[in-house]
Amino acid sequence: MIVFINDSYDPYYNQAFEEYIFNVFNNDDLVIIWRNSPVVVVGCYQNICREVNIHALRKAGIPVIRRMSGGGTVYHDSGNVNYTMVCARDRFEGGFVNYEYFLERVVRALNNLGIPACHDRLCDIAIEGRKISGSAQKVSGGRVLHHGTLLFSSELALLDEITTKNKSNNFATSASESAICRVTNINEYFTPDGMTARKNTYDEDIFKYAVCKDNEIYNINTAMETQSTCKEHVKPDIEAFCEAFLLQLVREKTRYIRLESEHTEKIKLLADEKYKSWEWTWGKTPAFEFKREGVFKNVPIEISYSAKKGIVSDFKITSSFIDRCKASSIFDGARFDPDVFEKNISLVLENVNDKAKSVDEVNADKETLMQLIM
Amino acid sequence: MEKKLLMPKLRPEMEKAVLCAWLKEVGDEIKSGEPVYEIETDKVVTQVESSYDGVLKSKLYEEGDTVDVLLPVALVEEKQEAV
Repeated sequence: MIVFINDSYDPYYNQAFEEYIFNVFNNDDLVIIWRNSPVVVVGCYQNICREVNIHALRKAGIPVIRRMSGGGTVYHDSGNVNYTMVCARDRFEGGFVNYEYFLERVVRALNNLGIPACHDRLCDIAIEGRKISGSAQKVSGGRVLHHGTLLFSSELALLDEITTKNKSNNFATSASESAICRVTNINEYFTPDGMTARKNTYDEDIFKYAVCKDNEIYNINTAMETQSTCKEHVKPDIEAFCEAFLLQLVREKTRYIRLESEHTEKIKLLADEKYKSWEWTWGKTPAFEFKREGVFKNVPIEISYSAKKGIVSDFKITSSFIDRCKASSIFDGARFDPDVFEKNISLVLENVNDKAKSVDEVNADKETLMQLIM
Repeated sequence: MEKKLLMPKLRPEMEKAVLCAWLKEVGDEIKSGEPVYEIETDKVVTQVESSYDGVLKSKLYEEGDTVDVLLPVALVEEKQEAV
């Protein structure tokens, strides 16, 4: 078992980190506990614009990243703890990979910290029927990667706003849909009493197994010290939770590794070349047909188009203000991409907005059309 | 010799899965153990690997199609070993 220490909050780097260790360290069981700065993470086979309001996210500066596993859309912030577990596929009888193997460990670790969590639905964990964790998997090359979220102190109102209130029904596609669940935060249930009661039951042997080499330093005592402070009824913070959870999750002989630059440089490259790329983020959008009717400049408008491998075709727009042939020629063959769409809309509206109009009015028209078109 | 690559049964209760992505094109050489397509079911993305050395002869489904388990998804022309 190897535990990788990853202190980065960069969501692109962290997606790449997971993929890198999954592919490179392919002889051991692996664990990572990690956190992201605010980001929306969509499943490998999802349509971003069907799941979230991309315009609002762009305004708020919240990036959207496609991950390598299946499933639905999640919102991460620094109050959310992610865990990743990797093992060999032959661990499962008949090669039938399941969620129970991983979720039993996670639930036991949480229960050992006094958190009344239980396995819920296919691959969720809940407290009193409210979801605190969702998970998904990737299977490749005889290895299984299982990862999940743990809502510790996330901004649930924002999470709800982003992941449940902005679904679009204008896309006809076979892409995976996200489930909508009631959620709660773990810190509501993570009491100092629960922590201190459990502290005494820790098996000292788990610490003996932690091998700390010169460059593989992990202060394993921090968790214990932090837990001691709980006796003084200080609300445990998220770092203390991460360390305590990790100690409960990993109860076998373990090496703690902090990757050196030889690896981290390759991870940065993977983040830049894959996870920040149009090809991965938008080009991987499953084929779809889009159709929307609305109002533009007080008259009805109809927009429809298709996209395959992220390339738009059959673009049609019906509005008394817009030259439909010009619009079709601009959009057909274009990339399904908010930046490209924004530029194309400016071109489409070039002759529509006469010079007497204020900049604000022109921008308002562009914004309205942008929101109608994707 | 023509060989079939099937939609795998990944767990006992699995009945079908979505073919998410082709990782090879028709005419591409394939080695045994190399992934040929990607499927998704129950939030699991699985890369399906070839059991044969050969050439991808045909794709029987398009990306986005839902395919029942154990149905053929791709045909591979197996490379003949020189005797």
